[in-house]
Amino acid sequence: MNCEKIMKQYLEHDHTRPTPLKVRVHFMFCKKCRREAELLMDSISGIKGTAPFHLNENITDSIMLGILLTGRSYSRHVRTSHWVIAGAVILSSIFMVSYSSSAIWISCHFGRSFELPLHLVLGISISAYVSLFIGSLVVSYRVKGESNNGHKGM
Amino acid sequence: MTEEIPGDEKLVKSVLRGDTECFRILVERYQDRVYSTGIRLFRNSDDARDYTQEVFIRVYNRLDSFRGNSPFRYWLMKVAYNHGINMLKKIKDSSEYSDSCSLSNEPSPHRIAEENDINSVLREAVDRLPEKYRICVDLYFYSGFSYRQISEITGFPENTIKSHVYRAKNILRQSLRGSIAEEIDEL
Repeated sequence: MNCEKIMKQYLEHDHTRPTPLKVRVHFMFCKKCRREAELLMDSISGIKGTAPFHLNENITDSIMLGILLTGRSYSRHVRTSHWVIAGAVILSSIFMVSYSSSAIWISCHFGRSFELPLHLVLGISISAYVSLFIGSLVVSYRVKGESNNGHKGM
Repeated sequence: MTEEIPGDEKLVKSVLRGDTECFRILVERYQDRVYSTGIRLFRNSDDARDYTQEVFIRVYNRLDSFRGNSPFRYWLMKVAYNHGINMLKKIKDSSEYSDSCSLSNEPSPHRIAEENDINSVLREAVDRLPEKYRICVDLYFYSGFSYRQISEITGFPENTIKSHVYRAKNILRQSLRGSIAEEIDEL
């Protein structure tokens, strides 16, 4: 009788959660119930991750085609906040480099012949970075616009 | 060397970064489960197949709203179930749907032959349940969701789910009893 009660409790229990202590203690001493529970759990875990019905054909290609036809695509864009943070790091590095001991040493030894090319390189770098940033913004706005048009058209 | 199988969330991130082909893996991984939900809701394989396609396209379009607070499979099944219920409402409203719909096209005879004993017993157990609750048993046994998660997906009370899953487990237990009795005798 006790076995039946425990098994009822065990069956009612949500097996995605830990088994109640009372049930576990009973299983420790009752081999029959323990075996029954083990067999039941083996059976249940054997079908987990499968499906009760199976498609007779693979419809993955038609789904992927359907996705393509919606015109929606997630672009490989860098977040604006990341652009701004990276830009700030670059600018502060440029500012700090003039005060570094090695820059001061080079400046003392080579004078303006060093400073001019250095500032040219830094200027070109910052211009390239800003161009890329503006370019990425334009692309992301264009992609958003296209996807909005695609949705309206559907 | 074994190749690491990417997790669902990792694949979602890849899709959101622009690698649309990663979505193919997710489709292949879950198409049977979504199709099974379709079978439970529409009770015919043609509608279930169309439904599966629509669900995955809808999931792709909404992928950027997946926050990753819960597993992807849970989010997917929630979207799938809600979409199915909405489709059913529309069909019923337009009076195109009749309760005489049957599972005439599924499962195929060879598929039945392929199914193992546990699947057959569970199918039998599920068939004894009221139709609208069959999906709960599928979600519990096949997808491994908890009572609470199933309740959140379907909107059925947790206790109702518990009692139907209990009935299914009990049928499974009865069918396994023979083998246990043999085992005990052998001991």
